[in-house]
Amino acid sequence: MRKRRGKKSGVILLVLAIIATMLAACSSNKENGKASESSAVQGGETATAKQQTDSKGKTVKFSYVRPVWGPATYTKGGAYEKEMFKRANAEIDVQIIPIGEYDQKIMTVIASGDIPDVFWAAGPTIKKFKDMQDQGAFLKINEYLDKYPAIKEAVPQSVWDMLTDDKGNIYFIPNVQNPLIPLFMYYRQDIFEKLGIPEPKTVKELEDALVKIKQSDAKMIPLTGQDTLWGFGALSTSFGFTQYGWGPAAGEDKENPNTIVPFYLTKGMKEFYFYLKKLRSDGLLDKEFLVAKNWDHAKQKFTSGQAAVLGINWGYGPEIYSTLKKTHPEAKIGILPPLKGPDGAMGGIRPFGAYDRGMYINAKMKDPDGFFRFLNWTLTEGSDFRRYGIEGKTYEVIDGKKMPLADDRTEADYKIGQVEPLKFLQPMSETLDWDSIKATYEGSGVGEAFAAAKAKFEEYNAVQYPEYRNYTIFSPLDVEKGAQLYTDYLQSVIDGAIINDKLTEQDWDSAIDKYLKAGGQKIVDEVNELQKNKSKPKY
Amino acid sequence: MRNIWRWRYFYLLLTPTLLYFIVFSYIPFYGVVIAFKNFQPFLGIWDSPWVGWKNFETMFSSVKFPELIRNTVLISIYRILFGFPVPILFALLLNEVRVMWFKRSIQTIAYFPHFLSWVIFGGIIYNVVGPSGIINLVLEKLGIDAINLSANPDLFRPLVVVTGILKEFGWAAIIYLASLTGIDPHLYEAAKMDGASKLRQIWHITLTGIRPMIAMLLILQLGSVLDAGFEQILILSNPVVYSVGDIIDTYVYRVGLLEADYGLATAVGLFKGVIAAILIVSANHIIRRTGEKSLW
Repeated sequence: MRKRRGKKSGVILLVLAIIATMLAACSSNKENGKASESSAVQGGETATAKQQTDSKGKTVKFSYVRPVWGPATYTKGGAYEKEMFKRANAEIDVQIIPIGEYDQKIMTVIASGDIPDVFWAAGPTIKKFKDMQDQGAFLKINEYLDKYPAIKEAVPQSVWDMLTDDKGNIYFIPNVQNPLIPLFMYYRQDIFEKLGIPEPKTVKELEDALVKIKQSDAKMIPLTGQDTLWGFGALSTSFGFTQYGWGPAAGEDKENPNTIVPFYLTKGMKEFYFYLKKLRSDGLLDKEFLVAKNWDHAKQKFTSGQAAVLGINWGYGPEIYSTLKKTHPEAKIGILPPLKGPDGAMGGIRPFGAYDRGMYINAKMKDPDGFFRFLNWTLTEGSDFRRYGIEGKTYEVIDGKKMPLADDRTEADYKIGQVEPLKFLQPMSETLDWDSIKATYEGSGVGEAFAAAKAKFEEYNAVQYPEYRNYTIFSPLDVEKGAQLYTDYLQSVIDGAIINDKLTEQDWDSAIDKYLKAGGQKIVDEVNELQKNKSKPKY
Repeated sequence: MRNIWRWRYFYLLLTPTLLYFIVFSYIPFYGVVIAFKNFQPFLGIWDSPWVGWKNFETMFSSVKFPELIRNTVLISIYRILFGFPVPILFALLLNEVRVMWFKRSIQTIAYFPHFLSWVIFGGIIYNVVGPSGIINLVLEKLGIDAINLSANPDLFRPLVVVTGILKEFGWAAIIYLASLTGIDPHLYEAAKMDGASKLRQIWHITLTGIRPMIAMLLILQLGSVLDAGFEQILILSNPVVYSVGDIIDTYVYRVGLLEADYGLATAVGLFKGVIAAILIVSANHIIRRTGEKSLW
């Protein structure tokens, strides 16, 4: 009898244990939930002055999701993080997402309803975020910008104006950047000199040089580029169009066009893509270009001496020089000048926007003032820590100047992978700081390369191929069907043109024609009708 | 009622499972209404505006729709044709191995890829078949021209099928191996006495013994014909092979999820669910008609 009762109790206990486990699994994020409940009334509104006063001196706690461009190796509790939390009196629950997956993953996070307190997003120039703003999902920040002027001053007024909605509200803190970020073509000057190749000045001369390199060493990759096509941003400008953007239609005035069109409707883009296709089929372009899944394969090839010419963001300069110096001490690196294109267009720069993504604050965040207090700290008392980090760990002082340490000279807890996830807002005034850039070159042990890089920077910026479209103006058809039309008619042609041997110029023309007939032309018309000011942006 | 009370402890044991399915499989059915809405995360499901059949129209009006259906169904059929028999053959072969350490080693090696994500396994595959992969390196050393394996529309579907088999055949064989243990050993002894060869024994006893299991798994696999392996294709594909490799799920990923059009993604999910249900019921009916043991 006792045995039977024991069995029954066992069954009941087992069932209870299973149910308890299920409930425990379902009740994650309890703390977050509570935080949301207590502050639910704040949705879309700013916190009261009383809350702001009460929260002063308290440890700031918030969750934070951001993308990382560097290695996704962040681990919580590192020495850099601890030091930052101590100095800022903050505890931040950081979650990182590699940049390539960020936009998709953050949308999934938002759709799940479990939204972090502070997170990065593309901002109100994307319709879905504008809609969420209007629905009261994010915190209105006007009052905080007035309260913490350092934050307001970090961003140019023109950018704040662009982000202000028709009711005068601002919801988004932009990650400002200097729009002038040239994409350089680095080349192995020693190889060029050895083969008697003069520095190319035109696209044709570049092609001839690549042929000679291929003929002299079959194993050398003549040309490679950072995926996606951004790596060849400099080369694209030689074909006279705005890569990944809208620019003047054929025959239009470049300064004040009446009609603007997306890059895939320009003659220059087609020529550029089929030029790269020809290079590839002739064995002059890296056969892994646009095929390899790791975007930095091109950089690795160049820095390990396998490639002769590399197209890449100039920001990688110090790393490229210092790494190649170690693997091939005899190597000399040059930077190609802007090249003249086949139609006579002079190469230059494709300016980026004034910001690249930025931060939204959850309208239900428990302590928004605490976050702004923290952000203000990073721009005032904590500014030095934000910029340089910790002496002896992330920088050293030489002749009274703070020199950032190259990543390979730092301990594991102070590497880029640990520091980048804790970055927030960099003031516009610091985005092009020549002293800081020079210090980075010197800190990497390649200070001698700085002067050439600076000179080329100026040379590239002389001719600009900017984005003409104002993305705060939405074309209704573009919002409704733009993505589908692009995917249905253009994506395989545009993404595949360079690497698909079977794709011809006729296929390209046919796809463009079908796209325009299916609604693409209407999108172009709507954009041109709604956007009155189409003059060339100046940087 | 008396019966329920009599078997109350069994019902009690069943409760967590029922709860699990109610909470995680039936209650979420409410979300199906998203297929008929322009879902806005911050408005919630109910407050998001209704759009009728618009999400379905978007999907069916796509000029790529026939191509997507063709690719999805073809890849799935190839998987069934070439992939379905592999774990059965593997289980039969392994069943005949008498050296236990060898049998276990092979089993472990065959299971292992199942535990790797497609991101990792895809990376390994790329290092084998990529432009600078092992195959092309060997060909280069032998003085033979390199083959474009990773960005070749003619080879993409075979690549998907073969790599899919490589990754999963070991794991899929487990259920057959378990089923094989249920066959009465006396049957083999009797067959031997009657002079049956090894092949005859496999044909008449082993295969016959696991036939209900084969039928059941075939029905289940037919039900997922519209799931051609999203993660694998996303990892292995590139723009060159879209024409032969773009399936419903990868398309929905680009147009639905990347653009946060959850209504479209749900509509496609619902469409696939209805087709899967029809296919399962039909397959089950056909198998029952042939006299095999069916799902219900």
